[in-house]
Amino acid sequence: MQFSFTEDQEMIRQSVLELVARACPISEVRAFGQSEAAYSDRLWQDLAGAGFLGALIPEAHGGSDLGMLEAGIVLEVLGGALASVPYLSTAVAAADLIGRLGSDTQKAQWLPKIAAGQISVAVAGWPEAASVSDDGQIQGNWAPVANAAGADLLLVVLNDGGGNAQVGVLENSNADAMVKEFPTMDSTRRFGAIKLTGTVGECLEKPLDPAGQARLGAILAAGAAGEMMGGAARAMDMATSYAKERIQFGRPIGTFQAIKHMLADQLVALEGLRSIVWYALWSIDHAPEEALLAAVTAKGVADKVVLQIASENIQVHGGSGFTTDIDAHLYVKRAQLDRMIWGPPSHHTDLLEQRLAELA
Amino acid sequence: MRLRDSSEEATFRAYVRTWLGENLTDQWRQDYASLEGRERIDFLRKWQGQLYEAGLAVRSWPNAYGGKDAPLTEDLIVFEELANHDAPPDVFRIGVRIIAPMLMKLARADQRETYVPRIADGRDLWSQGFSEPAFGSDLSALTTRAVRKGDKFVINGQKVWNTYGHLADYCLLLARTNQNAPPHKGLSTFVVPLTTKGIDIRPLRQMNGQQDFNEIFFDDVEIGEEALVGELDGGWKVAMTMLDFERRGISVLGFGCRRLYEKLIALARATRTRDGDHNLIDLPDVRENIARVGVQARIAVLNNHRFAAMHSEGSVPGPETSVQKLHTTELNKTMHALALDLIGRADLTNPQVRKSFSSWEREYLTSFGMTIAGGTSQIQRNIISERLLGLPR
Amino acid sequence: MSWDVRFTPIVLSERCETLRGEVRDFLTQQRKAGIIPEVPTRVGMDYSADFSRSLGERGWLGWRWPKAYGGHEGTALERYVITEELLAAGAPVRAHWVADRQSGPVLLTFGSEAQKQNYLPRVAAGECFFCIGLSEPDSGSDLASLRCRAEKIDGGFRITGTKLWTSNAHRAHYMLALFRTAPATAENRRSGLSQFIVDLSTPGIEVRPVLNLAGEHDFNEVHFDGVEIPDDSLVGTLNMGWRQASAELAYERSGPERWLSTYHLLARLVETLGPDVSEDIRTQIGELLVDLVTLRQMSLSVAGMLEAGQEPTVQAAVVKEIGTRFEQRIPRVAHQLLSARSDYDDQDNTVRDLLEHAILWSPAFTIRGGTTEILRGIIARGLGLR
Repeated sequence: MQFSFTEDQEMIRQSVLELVARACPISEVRAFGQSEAAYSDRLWQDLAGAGFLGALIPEAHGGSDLGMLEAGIVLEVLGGALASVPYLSTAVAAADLIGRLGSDTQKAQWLPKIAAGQISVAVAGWPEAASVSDDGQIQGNWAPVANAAGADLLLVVLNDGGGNAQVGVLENSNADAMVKEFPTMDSTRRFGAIKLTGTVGECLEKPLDPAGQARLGAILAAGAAGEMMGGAARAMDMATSYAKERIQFGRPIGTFQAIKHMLADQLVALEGLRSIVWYALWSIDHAPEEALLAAVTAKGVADKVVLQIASENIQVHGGSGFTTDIDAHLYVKRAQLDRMIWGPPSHHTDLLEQRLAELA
Repeated sequence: MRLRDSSEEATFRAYVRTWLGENLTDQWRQDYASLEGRERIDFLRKWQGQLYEAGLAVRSWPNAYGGKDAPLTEDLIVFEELANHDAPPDVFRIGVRIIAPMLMKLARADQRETYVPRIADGRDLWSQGFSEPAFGSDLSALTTRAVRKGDKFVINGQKVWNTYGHLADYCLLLARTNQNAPPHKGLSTFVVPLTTKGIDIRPLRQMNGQQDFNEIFFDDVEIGEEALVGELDGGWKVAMTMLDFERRGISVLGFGCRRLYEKLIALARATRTRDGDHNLIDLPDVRENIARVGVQARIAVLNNHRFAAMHSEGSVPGPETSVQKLHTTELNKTMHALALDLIGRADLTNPQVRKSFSSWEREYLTSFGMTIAGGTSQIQRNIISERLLGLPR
Repeated sequence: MSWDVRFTPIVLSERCETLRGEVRDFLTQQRKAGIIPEVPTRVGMDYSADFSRSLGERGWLGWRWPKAYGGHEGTALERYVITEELLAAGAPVRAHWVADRQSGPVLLTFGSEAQKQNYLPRVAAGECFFCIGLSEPDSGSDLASLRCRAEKIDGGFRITGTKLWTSNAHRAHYMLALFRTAPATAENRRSGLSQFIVDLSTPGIEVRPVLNLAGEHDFNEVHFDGVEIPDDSLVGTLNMGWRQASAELAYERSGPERWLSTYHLLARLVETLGPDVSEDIRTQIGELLVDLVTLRQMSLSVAGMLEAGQEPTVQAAVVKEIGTRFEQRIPRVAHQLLSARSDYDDQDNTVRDLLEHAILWSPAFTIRGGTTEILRGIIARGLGLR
């Protein structure tokens, strides 16, 4: 095994860090919370310009043909910056679905636009697909869905009950998809509630077979865990810095073992999370038969660890952690929403335990 | 990034599995289980020799010292397969994983040539003489002293928690050579043959019923000045280097946890609840608990590989090994406690169950030592927070 | 050193249970009148000057105080019963809470006759509200390091500095504050502090809102720029304020409000889940109820010790340490059990509203009134470890 990044990947990380630091400083995050925008357009365009939106798109369609690990690197940085851009749903999940299942026309129609930052895409139907009746009537209801409100395109997993699924493509002008804004405690992102009715319209050419469904699930779960991992690292850094600076009882509070040991345990938890998240992201392309289980495991660990670290960041900050004057609250609120997207926390642990039962 | 064996690694792993299948047989296990004390050590000495001959024992060492100059990933394959095959605890690990790597880094050429090869193939068993009754976590304040007398040093004092000392050939001793310097700047390390006159070794009984460690009393023990390892008064650096290597040796335990997970599943599948209605694996809370530790065991293995890749070959591992040590030893304890919890729900009047229980019970008791030895979990948290996170002392 | 931290079991008197009935009847009426919600959708106490006055009229404030000061000479356990009923009903007790729980008792113990006559009857009537002036931007857990100073001037004191976290300073009439009146000595960094009543209508006091992470206005920063207060603002003995404030903090740590903040959520959770649940869920709820009942017994016991004139510092710290973590556990369990339900995201799901409010407030429980880390230090001292 060689569990390390290549030099190119490290360079990409550096490059994304600089780009995001410039385009999405914390002031931008706070301003976003007060705005009505669907996402941070400036950051989105900068990511497009640097080729990161085309990470999973072939060069023929304007992409940079990188891979899942590179996408994971971008997601981690975006999570750390509390950025509001529909990267996972658009540049990762949608790009992958369209690239694999779309007809040549569909690929030519959508992929270049994704790479160029011209459209945003929301994905619905995982883990619960929309049902399609015998006469083609769709029924689907999901909330909260990241970046759904204001998305240009909606990709929906449609299940006709026969094992294979279809991926429906709906443009935002489509009346059958009612997307309402779904307000949440996370001011760093917009969420929507989607109610889907009507009949099946345009779909991606190829069906989403069970392996494809597993791949989609793995992408969403591992991708979300990657973003969460970035946020946790920043929250831990924030607590550590504060512990070094804040003086009480004549000494930095970081000299007290109660604080030291809390932060040490956080680092152990975070390092464990890193190992499982990168494994999950790697396995999507390199060990696909294991990817869904690995991703669900990673998301389950992230659900617990990230909230713990973000909450303890508030605890270390004392009273000021409970105000909006400092940013600790943003990480907790984001972690709470991260736990709910792509299925509630129990969804991930249930899947794991199901697997155990299969061993019995 | 490649998170599975390369074709070379796969070939090597297959070789290891074959070799273990042929050599770590049921007969071997029976023989091992029937021996005690010095006979057991001699049996394991032979085993270490076999591992060495097969090219498994010290693969990542330089050729000059009997290694294969192989990448660390091959060592990890050996550790993993040993764990998967339920190999017995590695009595030679102190010499092989801790003392020899330190000697290769910090000792004189003649010391390296004399001692290192004999550690590799099991001819010499080594122990460590660090902790004292009044100085465990606070090691640098220790008081055993080594006083110069002509071309010798005279040692007086007492060591404790000395593992395998009663059966070892040598002890790597940390003693005070300078009373006037600040505590951690007045220490030196020495190679002490344990047959030297004046050394009295007394076994201590452990809570798991075994007697693997000892108190060692030094009463005017004379050793030659050539026994000094590293600089005079530079022993703290030597000791810290050894502790860094020791913590990495812990990665073996990570593979052990993975194996333990498989055993927990097997235990839960094979054990019926007392009312006879279910196998434990059918119960939701059992599955949840096993799944939870299973995830952590997976993480422990992945951590082994990820951390191994952090350092170039041969370099001293850093404080990130404290992360591994803390994580795996606490996980190991939790998993053993879970095992007892599972068995406790079975029918202990059944002799089969009782037999299984006493073997799990012994391992459970052993797990308590691991969160203490090599730096307690609390000390590891101090190391992590101070050296990795930069928090002030 | 031996560890002798006891929680004497308490059996409530008949009088207590009769009183409980009276409070419940009153609360039922208040619900009918729409003053208290049928079903609370927020955690924490709401603020209602009217409600506080009506409690005062019923004679349920200043419960333990001498009648001479407007009190009712009742027992600590009776007061406990009144309090837990009010909290369990989600009654809006915020306005009078601090005055009744701690400011009044401090004045009773350390105040002058004039001060007792001036303030206590009005507090007992539910007409006079206090806030707490202790923490400062650089003095949170380390209260003794506070710097806001009160300089002696002719006829009074001049206050300069800033207080922080002062909940309800924007609505209270008075602040009971701790200021530095003399430099601390090397031997005792807690000397030189004095306690004062500050009339918040005094000119020169600037109250700036500090929004909490739920976006609510509860906290304030209170800035004193040479604010002059009269001599009779001083409570108790000059430079002996630390002892007085410590007593005040002890009151703050010992009541049922330290573990009941998310009680409604637990009640709604049980109600929503209904009787037909898996054994696993039953176990989880059972574990919460075990803790609830145990905490209540411990908390009652502390009230009993206060009644007997003891100073159960360690016991109060233990109850708050366990209690606040219990308060945090309820939303975690509730989230796990409710978020998987198909009705979770319905617009009209009021349990979700309550749950999300509880989630937002959770971090505060282990910070306010003494962080978990500080409480553990107090407990460690009780164990002889410091």
